[in-house]
Amino acid sequence: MRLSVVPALLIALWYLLIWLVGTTHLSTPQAAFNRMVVGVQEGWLLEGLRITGRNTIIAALISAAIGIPLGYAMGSSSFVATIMEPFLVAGFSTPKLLLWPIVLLIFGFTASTFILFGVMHGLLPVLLFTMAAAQGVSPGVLKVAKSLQLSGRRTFLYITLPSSIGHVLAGLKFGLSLCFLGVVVAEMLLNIGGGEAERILRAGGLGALVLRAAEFNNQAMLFGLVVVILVIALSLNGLMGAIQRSVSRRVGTVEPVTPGVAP
Amino acid sequence: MSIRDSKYAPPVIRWLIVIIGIGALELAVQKGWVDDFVIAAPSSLVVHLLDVAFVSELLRHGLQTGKAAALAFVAASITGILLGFVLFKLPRLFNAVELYVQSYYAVPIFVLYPVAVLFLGISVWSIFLIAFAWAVGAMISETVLALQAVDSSLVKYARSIGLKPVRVATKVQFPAAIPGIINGLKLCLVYSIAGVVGSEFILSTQGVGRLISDHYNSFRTEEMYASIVLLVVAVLLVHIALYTIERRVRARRGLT
Repeated sequence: MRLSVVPALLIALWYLLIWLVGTTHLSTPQAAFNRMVVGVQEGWLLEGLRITGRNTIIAALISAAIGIPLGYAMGSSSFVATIMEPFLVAGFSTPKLLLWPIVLLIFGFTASTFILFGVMHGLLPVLLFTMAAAQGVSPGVLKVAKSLQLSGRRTFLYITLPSSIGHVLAGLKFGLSLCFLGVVVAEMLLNIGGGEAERILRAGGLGALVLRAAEFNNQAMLFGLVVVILVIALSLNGLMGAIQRSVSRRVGTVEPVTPGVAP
Repeated sequence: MSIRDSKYAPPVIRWLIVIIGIGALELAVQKGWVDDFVIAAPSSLVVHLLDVAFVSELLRHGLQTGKAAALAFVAASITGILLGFVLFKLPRLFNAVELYVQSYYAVPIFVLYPVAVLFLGISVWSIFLIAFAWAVGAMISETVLALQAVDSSLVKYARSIGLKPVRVATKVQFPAAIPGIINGLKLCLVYSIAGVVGSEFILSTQGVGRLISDHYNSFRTEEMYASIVLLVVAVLLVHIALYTIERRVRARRGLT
């Protein structure tokens, strides 16, 4: 119930703005909703969702595939972790938007640019959280494992992994949400400017649709898409948060401190 | 004493990593292993830094960006601190909005730029709005976190000596939360700069973002890299400066 307070407030604010400013520049919530329904019927909304979804999932999988093993590897040595931490925190703290022209220059107007920009956003939180999680495993418990002569593999599977999985999932929550953010922003930025980019427009995802709505001055479509993107961003975050809390409760984990993370 | 125990080993090793990395990139470009149109040699950064025309143009645009970012920062930090304080003081309201405040980082604020242009046109005010929207979220959540982290025994003591709630808030809670608020200011400033520059990539006729965009569009790769590197360095310096201030404030108060 309390989750509906903010959406209700925002819709009330929307109507207030319409009352103040009129509907010349502002679509009504009903018009935006109807436009999205049309989008589903005509297929372009679902196509946009499919493309953005595919790019986000690929970016998230790459971030996890690199970030988790690397995070555990770096976290297992406090010396390596101490050395690498400032680089990772600096990378995490720098808004990746500033690096967009470099990404565009190196990777050009291709589909993998969306995915790469998503990975740039999502990799570092996964890495940082996993590293902190690996370091947060209780040394006492690790000593017990050693005294029981558990192999490295068994120590990881039965001690390190269960202790750290909650925090790793928190990192994946950040990572997935930020991958989505990176992909959508890249889709939008990639489609700015005409010419070659117009080919991409037809192949773009939600971000490209936003730009198309803006360029054709279709306010209902623009506002509808913005709401769809907001809902997806918040839902992804909420879903991953729920998964993380549920796993943490079952497994019982240590809560390590993740350096420099407050996105 | 092994190298791992030395206090100086980590910073030295970090500098070595940076130097070797830059050296490897320079070598790769000079040898032609990477296309020098796509990746500029690090040495070109030094060359451009010595070019008065380049530096003065960068500074001129930097001043425009700085003004917009400063405006967004001031507005976002004041609004964010006030709203954060209000949310902290009204736990029921905070309970209702908490999930959204915590999820603010996941929202692609930049997607709102067409909406900003719709209302405010292609002007500095659209840029201000995007930067403000991006920065204020971080400020609100960091302010609430900082206030929540204040030791409750301080508050209890203040009440026990008869301080009225307003005074408890202004004389005890808020000052105790200052280190966390400085952390929030750090994020607020970084996001203000990023929001302004990002918007300038597409919306502006001036500013560092516009300059970088011009370099990109006219294939001046080296100038583009030089501008971006200097911009990122500036953002990192802001980060380090405010982080250092926060650490000093915490140390002076005996907090870790």
